[in-house]
Amino acid sequence: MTPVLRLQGITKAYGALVVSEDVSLDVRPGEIHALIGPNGAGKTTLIGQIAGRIVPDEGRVFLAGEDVTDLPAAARARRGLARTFQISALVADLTARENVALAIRARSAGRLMPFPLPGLDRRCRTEAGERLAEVGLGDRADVLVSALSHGERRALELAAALALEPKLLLLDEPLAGTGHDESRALVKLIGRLRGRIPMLLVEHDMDAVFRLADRVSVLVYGRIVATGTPDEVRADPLVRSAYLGEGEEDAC
Amino acid sequence: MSRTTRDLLILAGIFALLAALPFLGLPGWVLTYTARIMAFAICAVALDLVLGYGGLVSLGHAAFLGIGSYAAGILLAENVDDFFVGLGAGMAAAGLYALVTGAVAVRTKGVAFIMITLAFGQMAYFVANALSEYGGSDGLTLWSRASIGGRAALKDRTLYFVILAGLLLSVAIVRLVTASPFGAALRAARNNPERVTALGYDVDRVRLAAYVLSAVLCGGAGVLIANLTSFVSPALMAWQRSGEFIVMVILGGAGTPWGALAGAFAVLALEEGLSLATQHWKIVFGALLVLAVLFTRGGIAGLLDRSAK
Amino acid sequence: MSLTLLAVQTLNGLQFGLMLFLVAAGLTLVFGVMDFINLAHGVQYMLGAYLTAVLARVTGGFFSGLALALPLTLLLGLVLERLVFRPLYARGHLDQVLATFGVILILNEAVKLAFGAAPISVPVPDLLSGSVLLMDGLLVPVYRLAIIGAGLGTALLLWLVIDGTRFGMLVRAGATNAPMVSVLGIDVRRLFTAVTAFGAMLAGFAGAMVTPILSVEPGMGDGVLILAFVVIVVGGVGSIRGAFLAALIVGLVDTLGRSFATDLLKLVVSAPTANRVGPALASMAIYVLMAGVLAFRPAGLFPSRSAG
Repeated sequence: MTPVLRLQGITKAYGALVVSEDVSLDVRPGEIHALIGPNGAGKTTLIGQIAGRIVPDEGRVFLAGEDVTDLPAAARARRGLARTFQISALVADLTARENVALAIRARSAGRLMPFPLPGLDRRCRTEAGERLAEVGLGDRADVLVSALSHGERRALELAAALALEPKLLLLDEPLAGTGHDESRALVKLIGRLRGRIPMLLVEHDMDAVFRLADRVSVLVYGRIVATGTPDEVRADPLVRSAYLGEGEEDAC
Repeated sequence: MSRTTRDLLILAGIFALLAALPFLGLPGWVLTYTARIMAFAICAVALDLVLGYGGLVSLGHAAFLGIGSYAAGILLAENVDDFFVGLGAGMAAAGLYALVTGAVAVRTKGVAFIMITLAFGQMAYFVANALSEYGGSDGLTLWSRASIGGRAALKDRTLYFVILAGLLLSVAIVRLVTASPFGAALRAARNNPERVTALGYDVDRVRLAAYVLSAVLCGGAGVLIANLTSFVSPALMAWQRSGEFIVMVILGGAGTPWGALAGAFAVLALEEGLSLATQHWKIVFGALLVLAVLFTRGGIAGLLDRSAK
Repeated sequence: MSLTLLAVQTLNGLQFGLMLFLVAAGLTLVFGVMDFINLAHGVQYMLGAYLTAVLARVTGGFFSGLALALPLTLLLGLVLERLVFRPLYARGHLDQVLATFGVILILNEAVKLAFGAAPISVPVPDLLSGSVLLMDGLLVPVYRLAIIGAGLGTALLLWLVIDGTRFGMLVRAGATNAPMVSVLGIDVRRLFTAVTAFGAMLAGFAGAMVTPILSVEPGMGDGVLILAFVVIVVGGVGSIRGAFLAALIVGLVDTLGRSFATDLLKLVVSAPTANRVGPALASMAIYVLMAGVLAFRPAGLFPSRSAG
């Protein structure tokens, strides 16, 4: 079965600083694959290379079997790569519904028509309402993003990404900055999407990672040091010394 | 009454007034002056598409006006006097210039975009100065206006209505485009280009398309100005005029249905009024501008945004 | 096209480039440190020229005029920074453009009101009059050489200040990361004021130096401002090194282009065509250069901020 995402020998250096070193990784259909690693391990740069913001020095990126290494971010998005951002990135002066509608419209052939399409607008508004209800924002649809709480914005980002009906969802620290209750609700929400859409989940919250992930890859100093089921990774001595750190076993 | 209805009523009122003006028995210079304001208002409305809706501070829009007027002027000087040929040439020339220079400019952000558009505007200005065959820095006097369908050259009153129609069309086009899916992407990218890119929109191209459309409208305005004044000169594309366009858009209210239109009339009327009072009116105008920016909280744009909501 | 002419025009281009550098240096630091777009920087150049011209006439000597004009341009820079620029640092670029555009309108017109619209000319100071024979057939006015010397000297001084002093270190740090500088406990606002006033004086100095060779007239700073923008964009916003290199390139390309474009064209097209097209092409040269650099390096030759 073709992996939804495949990284093959990705290498990137800034001068003498190697931020990605021969990274190979795949996300299979239906799975949640988590990417963990200490600060400075190169997760952000790797995400940038997957999304298309950063061009790798070497290696290839395949999306559902297609080589997308030379495509810019927007073209990758059109081919089915949706993402959320570490720091919420939404259009702040639009409502929640309009943000999702923008994503829905992005799927349609009329997405760049230079004249009004009332029919398309109506369909987008209706579908946006449904998608917001799905993430628990049904009654917040017509509130401006700038007036939403942090957790609500996180959920909205997820709704907008899902509205693209992507082949792969790239979640960049979806729980960052959320409170305990918000975080629990988001974990539940992501769990519900399991099987419906494959995900690459980058997250610091180990509880969440080990609860959600089917497989985990560990990135340390730009290299993947281990890949396996949560239990395998937890038991890996290399991971324990390099990342989890001696004496911090309780943390996970 | 909804806001949209109110805005449409205001627009209808403005255009009804402008259409009635020639029938009020006013002296000829009033009509000529109003026609001139209307032509510049086309540029303000066109700039608003890029500045107000797209969030791109272009300080080189006068070049598009100038290129359009030179295209029309050169054709007339070469005895090609069909109005629509001139209009097409002026719009195409301005659009082409915007396509080439915009492709470079939209890749940059912030102050660099401002400086680059200003620099390309200045390039057009200097090229016009170097066109010694077509008047060089002195400009080119046109001995006759264009004509429509092989009839006699356009009369003052006909030209007034042609310019009015041009303004109406420009306002309509900008309104349609901003209400379209394309416009939604353009407006969203003003606030958060990253997000819009992640949704699969090619933000640079969306911006470039808006930039070119805006330039095409300005080019058309240039053709109208050339016919109205029977004169084209590099002064039309002096960079201060680009600054003036920005003042019009911001003073009137950027990204609003009739703000740029009202801004153009307000600014040009204010300038005319001040210049009647003193020869050194620019001091007063400049001081008003500085004070307005400094002492209206969040800038004039912010003030208008709030009062509009 | 003779070798002598080429040498003369190269010197002229060098001189022009150095003057551009003096204007661009302050401007690029203000962009880099404060992310502030100051359209009114060009009027500082004009004011430097006017103050020198008028004070030279009053005091009866170019150098005494220059000596009085420099502190005055510094003072004017301080006043403008305090009254107009400071409240704008936190605003968007659009507000900055509008307000500094207003300042240009005021000062250009004020100069016209005070000194008339007619250009003022300033005689070359006796000490620097005459010409020297640099090589066979190459007679160069001493004053041009003096400008080149002064420009290079100022550039060197600037480099020493930026590279070797605490003030320079702060400016460089500020250009890359302003919040970091304030974390270090430095009053960033005072740093901003100093940079702006200092930049204003450099632009004023450039304006002062050209008074004996250019006509002093209202609006003379506007064209220089736009060329300084080209220099900054080509060099990389915030980079002094980039501004220096780009200023020399722009100065040389513009000067040599204007003198030789038509002759060069005659090698490929007929003489009348070359005469017609040459001047237009020459005036486009630096902008095409800018477009070319940006097409390959959107952040300029020396991007001062890290990519991201």
